[in-house]
Amino acid sequence: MPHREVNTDTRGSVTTTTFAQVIKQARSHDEEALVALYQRALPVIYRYALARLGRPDLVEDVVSEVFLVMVESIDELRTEQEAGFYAWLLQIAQGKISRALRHVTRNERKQIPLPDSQTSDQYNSIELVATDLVSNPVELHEWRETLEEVGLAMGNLSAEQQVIVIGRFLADQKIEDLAQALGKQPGAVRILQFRALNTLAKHLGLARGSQRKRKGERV
Amino acid sequence: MNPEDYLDRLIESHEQGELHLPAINDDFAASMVAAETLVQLKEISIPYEFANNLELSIRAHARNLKEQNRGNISFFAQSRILSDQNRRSTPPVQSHSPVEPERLFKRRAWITFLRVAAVFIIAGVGILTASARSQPGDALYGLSQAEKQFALTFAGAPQNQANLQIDQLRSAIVDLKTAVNEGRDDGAIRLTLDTVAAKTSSSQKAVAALPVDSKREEAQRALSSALAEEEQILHLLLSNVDWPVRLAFTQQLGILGEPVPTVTNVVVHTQSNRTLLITLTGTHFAPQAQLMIDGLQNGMVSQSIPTQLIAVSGNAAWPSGAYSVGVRNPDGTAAQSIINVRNQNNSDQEDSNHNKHGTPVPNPTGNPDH
Repeated sequence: MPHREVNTDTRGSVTTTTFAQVIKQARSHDEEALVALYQRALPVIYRYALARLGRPDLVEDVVSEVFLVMVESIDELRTEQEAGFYAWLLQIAQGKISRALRHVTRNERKQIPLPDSQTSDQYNSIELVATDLVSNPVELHEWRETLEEVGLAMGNLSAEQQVIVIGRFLADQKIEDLAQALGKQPGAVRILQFRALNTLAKHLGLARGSQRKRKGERV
Repeated sequence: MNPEDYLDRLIESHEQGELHLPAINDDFAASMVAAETLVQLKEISIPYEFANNLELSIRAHARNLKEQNRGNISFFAQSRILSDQNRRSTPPVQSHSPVEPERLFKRRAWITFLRVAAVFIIAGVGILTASARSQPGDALYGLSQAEKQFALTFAGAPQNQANLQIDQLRSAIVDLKTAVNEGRDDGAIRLTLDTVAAKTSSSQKAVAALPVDSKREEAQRALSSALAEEEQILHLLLSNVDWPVRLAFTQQLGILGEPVPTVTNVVVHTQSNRTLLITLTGTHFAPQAQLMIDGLQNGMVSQSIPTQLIAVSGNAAWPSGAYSVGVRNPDGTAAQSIINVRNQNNSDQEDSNHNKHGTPVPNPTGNPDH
């Protein structure tokens, strides 16, 4: 299934100085403003949902619901700050993801999976990553494993910790902005980030004592 | 510097491409790799078709909401606008795509509603099926009776009502047979018998209320057949039931017109040889009928005619109290009367027994208990 990369670098289309203005326009259900917010947040929400759920079909449903809620409830957003907007949207996504996970769990209890079923083939055929990995099946497989592990590890974080690490590393928000969005001191957010990364490292098999070595040491 | 601040500095320095700060220990290094793993999520591409379709949906939704905000548009008009917009601006519906979200929501609402309705229907059918098979004493028996009453209410024409009553009588007879054969307790059997009695009465009334014509004759034939079946079943079951139920069965047979025994009077005399001479007066005592005291055979019948039975009981020592004295015909039908025995001088039991032992006193109600 061929996919084309969406231009995810949309930061230039909505600058920081005009973000508050976009939010104001979006509150009056201005089509272009809502689409601008959507384009800006889609990569973050999509990637977060994919990491948590791991199934593109579910992800598309969840992401669609999140943005439809965004359109309908944008006037309830009390902040005009970008980090606050992400925090709000991520909280909506968390609710939708939890519901989807419950639904999946229920269905899995009801259904006995067949070996080599059409369903699993269908999921495998959906490419998740950029084309440079597709050419390398080993790396692609490794990446899928990593993605699954990240999703499981993230499930061990609190909702607030998830908002912080996703806001920080996927939405590129600063600690100070996230602190303001969450109504906390920056130091408190750094502590949450520190603990969240420790927890992630532990569950990803990276922490001290773990025998696993990960490929990514580029930071 | 706190470890959390140092980690944040470490992350920022990497983000800005500055000179790498050294990781203090393995934990820091692990946290940095975890952060890098999260950053790697940015490599996930967004499916173009999905993103495009969702954008179209958002645009349509935004336009619709904007129209709503402008006001003065009826709900149905808005729905039409949304529908038109969706038709114009969105590609054909694909699974997992957010195309036509309003319709999707409505469809989900309908699916939920239909699921709930289906659950109720299945539960209702299940309960009704179970209640139809229920027996007296079962939790659903009341529902079964209510269901039958409901059917009668909506039976329509008198002819239909009479036929339904007869059908329900037959059904009650089968229930009675089942209750006895399954060895249910006396209470359940009595309840079923009450239902049979009630259905017998209502069937007879329903048929009697029909105008005299061929349909009534037809209904009368059906009723006669059902009543004959009832008599037959009651007779068959007599040998399988306890004494109190046997009395009730006999009473029902009497209602059906059978010549069943009745006891109208009981006289007990203490004889000189310290035996009791018991004389029962009533109707339809059969040859070889037996004397029954408290539901058990007792004494030797010395004389039996259809209206009187005389028996001698060897047990002369009857303490004060109530006794049921009755008769059982060879065909199983039975009747009894309750008597109260008072010892006039408890301090002198022997004399009392000898002289006036157990002076029978009629049942306080004056009605012999069959």
